[in-house]
Amino acid sequence: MRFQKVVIACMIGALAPITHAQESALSLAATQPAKGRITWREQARFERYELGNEEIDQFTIDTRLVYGVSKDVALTLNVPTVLRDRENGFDNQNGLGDTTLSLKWRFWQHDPGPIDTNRLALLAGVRLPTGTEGLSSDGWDPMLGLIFTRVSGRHGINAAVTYLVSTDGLSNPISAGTGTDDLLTLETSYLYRLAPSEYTSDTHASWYFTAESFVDYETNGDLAWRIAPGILYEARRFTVELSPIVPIVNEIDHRADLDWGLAFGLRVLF
Amino acid sequence: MKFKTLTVVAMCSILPATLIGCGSTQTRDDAPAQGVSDEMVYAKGATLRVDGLGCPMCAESISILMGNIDAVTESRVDLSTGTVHVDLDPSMGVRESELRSAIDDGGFTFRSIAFEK
Repeated sequence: MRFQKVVIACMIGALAPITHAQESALSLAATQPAKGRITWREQARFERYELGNEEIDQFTIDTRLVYGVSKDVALTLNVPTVLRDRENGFDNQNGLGDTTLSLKWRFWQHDPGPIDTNRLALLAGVRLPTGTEGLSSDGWDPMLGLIFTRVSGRHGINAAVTYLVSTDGLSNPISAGTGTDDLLTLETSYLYRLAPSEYTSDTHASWYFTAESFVDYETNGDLAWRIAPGILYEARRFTVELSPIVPIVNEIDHRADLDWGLAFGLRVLF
Repeated sequence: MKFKTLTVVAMCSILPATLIGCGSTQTRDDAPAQGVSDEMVYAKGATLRVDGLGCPMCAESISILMGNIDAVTESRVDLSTGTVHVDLDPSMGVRESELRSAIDDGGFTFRSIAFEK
């Protein structure tokens, strides 16, 4: 039964990214700012979890700075701030989460047309034990990933696989990858440009429909599949995004189940 | 069982997107970029043809990078045609390589350049 669910989930998930993409709200893309430029991204995310009979509300603000080291390499610093409200009232945790520092290297690029592009990038990073007690995994956790991005006309896809090695971890983790087990994540996203249907010389902004899919597999056997349909507005200097997060498969025995979530983000190019 | 599940997840989620993505590029013009001169040019404008612009924010990146070149007084990016037009101060020389570098640094593919004398 579980195997069937996974197959169905993955097949539906794979349909979404059959075309191509810019950078959607939650998933990785093989894109980066120009050499010497910085993008600042602020994303607020609300998630409601269930742990047994207890409801846990978690509000996370991710502050992300991405610096274009060269035309092919970008350095990303992600600092999460977490407010965790537990129904039991005793174990509320607020503070900084673990900071992640990563390097993205775009090692292949093929641009067949004015707005069309195909890109592959490698991602290497480390999650640092900078979080407050109860929110930090307390380890220096290395991660590796491979990211593919394609933009073709009004369509975009991103596909990424990442592996996070857990060197320590919380004994009672809430979200994926914060326990003592390694995390494999498969991300896919599809973007469709709603407007304008055709770019013109006067185009200064675009609206996109986005569909994102995340499969989290932890080496303790926990498996979760989430989708996030959303809307994205991209102007020349900023982007605003809104995506509800819906769990499809929660085959989880070692941490909390995601009930639902909502992400709102802002990106600014400097 | 776990290994089987993981294999299916990986194949379903990643391979279709990658295979389809890599297999159907719509080539406008895959000719390599023309040779770029390093000589100083005194012109009132230039039009560059660029591929891989992708999105409005990508276009803005080019405008910002072009703005760092002394001779460039204004730049306009047309996403529909993949052209970048720059107004130049004719009294200040500019090298083709400078303009091309701005495109390269943005992570885009330079195709050609034409000056307006």
